[in-house]
Amino acid sequence: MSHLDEGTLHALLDGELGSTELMEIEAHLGSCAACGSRLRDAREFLAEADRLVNSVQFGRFTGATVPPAASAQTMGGSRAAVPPPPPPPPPPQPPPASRREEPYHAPEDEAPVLLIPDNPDARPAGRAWLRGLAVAATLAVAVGMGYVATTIRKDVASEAAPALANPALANRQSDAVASPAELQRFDSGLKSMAEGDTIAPSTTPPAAAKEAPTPGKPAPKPAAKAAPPRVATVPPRQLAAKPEATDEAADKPAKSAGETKPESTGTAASDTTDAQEEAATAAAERDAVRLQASRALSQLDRERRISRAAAATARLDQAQAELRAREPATPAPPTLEQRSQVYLRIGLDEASRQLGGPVHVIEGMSPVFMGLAPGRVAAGADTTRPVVRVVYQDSQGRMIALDQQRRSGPGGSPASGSAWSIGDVTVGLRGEVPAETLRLLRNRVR
Amino acid sequence: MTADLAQLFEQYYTPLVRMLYRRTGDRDRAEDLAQETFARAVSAPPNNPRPWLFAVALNLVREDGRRSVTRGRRLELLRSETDRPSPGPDVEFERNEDSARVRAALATLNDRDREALLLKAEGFDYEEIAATLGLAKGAIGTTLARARRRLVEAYRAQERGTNVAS
Repeated sequence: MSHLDEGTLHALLDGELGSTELMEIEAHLGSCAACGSRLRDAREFLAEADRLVNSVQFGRFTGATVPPAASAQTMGGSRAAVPPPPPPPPPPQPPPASRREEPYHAPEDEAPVLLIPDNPDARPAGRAWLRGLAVAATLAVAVGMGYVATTIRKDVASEAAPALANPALANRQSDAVASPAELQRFDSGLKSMAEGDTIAPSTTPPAAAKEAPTPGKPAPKPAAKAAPPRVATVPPRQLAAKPEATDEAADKPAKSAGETKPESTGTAASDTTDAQEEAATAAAERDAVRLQASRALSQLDRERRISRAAAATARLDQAQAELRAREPATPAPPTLEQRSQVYLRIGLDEASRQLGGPVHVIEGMSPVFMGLAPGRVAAGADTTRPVVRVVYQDSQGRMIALDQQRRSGPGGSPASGSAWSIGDVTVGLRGEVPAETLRLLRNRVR
Repeated sequence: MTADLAQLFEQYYTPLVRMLYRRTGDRDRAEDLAQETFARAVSAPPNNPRPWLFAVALNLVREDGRRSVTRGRRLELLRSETDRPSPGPDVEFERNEDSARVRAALATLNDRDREALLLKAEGFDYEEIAATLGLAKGAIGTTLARARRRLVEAYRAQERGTNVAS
């Protein structure tokens, strides 16, 4: 398994990993010290970030009244490894305890009020009988219009038949939109429809039709439903106390047409309505209970996963601590940079600038890096300039350094056998390989 | 419908205002935006209310932020709540100062990181954060990891700056 990325570590600490992933990660963490170290870092960042975010509180949302960590627990998210946020500093004159327990009733705050621009009661959603009446009224209007149109078409056809025999008359009538006789017949048809109470409701202004039943309506669901104590001070009474809803009523003419029900069906319809409302309330309560149960179950599941992850990581820390205690303290092996004693890594351009010419390399080998080192390659080298060290590593991991330094003057020459001159540069070869190997490599320096 | 909304209001008003306050740093604005969010819930009742409410609230914050920039208004990150009764000048000052530092650190994050962090602080799990922000669930761990690290680093940098200045 490859190393764990930061996102996986945070998902582990947040309890978001499944059992299978958790087992794999647990196994990996048991054998990978680097990931264990990163896990500790991630845990530290997580705890600190949560503490910072939760410290931004004010007024009635202070940690004493509604602790964010607690709300996170109830909302379904939590962490076992994260310490709870520190309590806010106590005020010099704390309010009475009974008031501090009420999140909505901090001394300096009034109860939050939901200000709804439109009256939600004006929307007859959930009242099936209103919708049914609206559909029925629409159908009646459509049938009536169809009947009138058919009658008019028949009359026009019967009058047009003799006229078609006379082309002059036909041309004259075709220019007109409708003859006076047709208009009179159409008007009488409309009048008969109005008398039949079929189309009349649609001519009533929707707003007026909507406003009529609203004041007489009983309080909607929240008034009938048993509300928790806090709710009584919050929104339902505000919602129920807004009778103005003309805007929304004007937007829904079809629904207003549906509200003009016949008088004879009023009692039966109201009984049906009560029964339907009760059924809808019961269904809503059942849904709410189901939702709460499902949330509680998912939270329980998440808490189990978190505790398992916490236990796994705790075991890991303990096991690693024991392992470290058992093992003798062995210092980490020096890196290639430490072995080569380079104090600053440089690039090719900087190396050329230091040497005043091209950098020499070992033919057939790839340098690991170049750097500057203190000291002197050999006698005659200019000690005011640093040594440019080209570092190689052979197949067995042994370090080989090709040192180069500008000479102090044209007359100087290296005295050592492992150092020689190439132009104005003194070159030396040293490393962790046998002297014979160094001699062979010297022939490949270009 | 009214009963449902009342239930939603009771259940989510406090966490919504708390999240909005952490997001905006302005208490009045947070309450206004929460009201607007619930007003929209009246006109379009959501099926899955929690992600819906928080997503709408965050959209409103973004829109409001753009309008504020247009008007030349600035986020009041360092504003103290002087118009509210305070427990005491020293305590209130320290609390405001620390809150301002945290909010300034939050402001250095990009929108997605900051919102993921605030939603997590409100108890959202990864699936709900993904649904609210329109991200893949698999990306939430990385997003939160980055957000947490940057927040802590920004806060520590501010603390160092304050200490040096003082």
